[in-house]
Amino acid sequence: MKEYTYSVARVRAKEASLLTSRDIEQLIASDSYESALRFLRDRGYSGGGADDAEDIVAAAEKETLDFISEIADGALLNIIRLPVDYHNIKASVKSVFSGIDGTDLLLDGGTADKNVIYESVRNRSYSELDQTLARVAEEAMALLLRTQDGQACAIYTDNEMFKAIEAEAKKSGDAFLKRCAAILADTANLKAAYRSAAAGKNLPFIKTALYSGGTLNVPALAQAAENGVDALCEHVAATDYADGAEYMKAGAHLFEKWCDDEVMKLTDGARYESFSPAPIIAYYLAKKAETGTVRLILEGKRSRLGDDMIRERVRRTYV
Amino acid sequence: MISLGIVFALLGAALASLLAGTGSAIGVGIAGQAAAGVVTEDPSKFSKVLIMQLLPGTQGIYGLLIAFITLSQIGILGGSADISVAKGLLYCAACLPIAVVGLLSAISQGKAAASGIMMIAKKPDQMSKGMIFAAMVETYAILALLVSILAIFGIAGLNI
Repeated sequence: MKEYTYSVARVRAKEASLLTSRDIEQLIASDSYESALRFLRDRGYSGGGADDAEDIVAAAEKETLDFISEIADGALLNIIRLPVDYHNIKASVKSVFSGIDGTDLLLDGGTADKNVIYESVRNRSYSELDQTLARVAEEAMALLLRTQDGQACAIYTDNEMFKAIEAEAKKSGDAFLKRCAAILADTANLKAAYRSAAAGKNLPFIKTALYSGGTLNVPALAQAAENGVDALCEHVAATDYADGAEYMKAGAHLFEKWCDDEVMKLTDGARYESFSPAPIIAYYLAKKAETGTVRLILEGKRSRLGDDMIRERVRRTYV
Repeated sequence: MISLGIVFALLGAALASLLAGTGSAIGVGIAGQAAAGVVTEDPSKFSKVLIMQLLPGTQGIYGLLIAFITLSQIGILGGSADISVAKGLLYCAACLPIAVVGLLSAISQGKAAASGIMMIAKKPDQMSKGMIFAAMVETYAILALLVSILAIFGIAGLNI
């Protein structure tokens, strides 16, 4: 059995510097964008001296991925890095198709170098990518060329990503990683079903938009989504995600926030684990949620949004 | 020809130091991994986590103590090494409590100490509580040590 004691101890030491709910509240209460930046700098968001919110948050995200790469390997690390690869495939395919330079949209931290992905898609030569990524990149490009439908291309890539994450989790044999993969797929399916229902999409589209894995009954979910938001709420109320139905009725942004909080619930038990990979994933999710929250607050402050409006959109914290 | 008694007695002494020592090595190793993780992020916590790491090491010392007493009682370290088979078996049995409990308690204590070390990483002011949690496991190693000591000294007075 793989040992995580050293990695978890490093995570515990790092957790001490995560922003608490009180810190987030203090950040929201900052009287200006500048004072919010000052507060963040005091709490470790140095951002290499940058003054721009996006640069500061991007630096923190890169630092987190570098840290996770140091302490994790195998399936655990791949589950974290695969979404970056699939994002890079999506961004590369769309920018190459549109004939624009999309290198700014690519992210660091995937299993494959972002420039290798971009060049492979640009040159339609996928031999430098691993078998799965090469197949997905080639098929995504072919799909976009054939249908000229960016949404269909994104759906295909996302579904392949969930498939890859699920396969990694299964390969690891770790129950926590399997639960992670299932919740990620389920919340993505719930979001896709809700958006489709709200937009009045037809059944063939919804079936393509949903990922066939996870724990939900996907054909039934698709059918419910076709019948509208009310039917979907009724269907979801009878699943393990019953709470989500209430949030669906409350509105899109509250429901999406609930989906993100649902993923964060994975971290609940991790506080009391010392020898499993759960605290590592929990820290990554917590830090990801934290940087997302910081980005949201900074953008809100810069746009002079009211504190209550910002507070409504803030996700729950881990510490 | 040497009586089998000394062989059994020596086996007991060997098991006491072997099993308890192995347990301590595993326990200190587990706690050491956690300690190294914390010190990687915050070197100032070295002294605090070192104390915690050492806690599972005591079982190895208890095993050594029992082995040493047994060796001196049976004459291996000097004097006559001629003891009966029955007495040899009794010495072997007397060594088993610290051998078995030492092995298992040291591993458990290592895990408790590792968790305590992680607690120190987040809440350094709670170090004493972390130590108490790990030290509770020690109780059972001490009980086993007492039984082994009492038994070994008791056997010496038996006329068999």
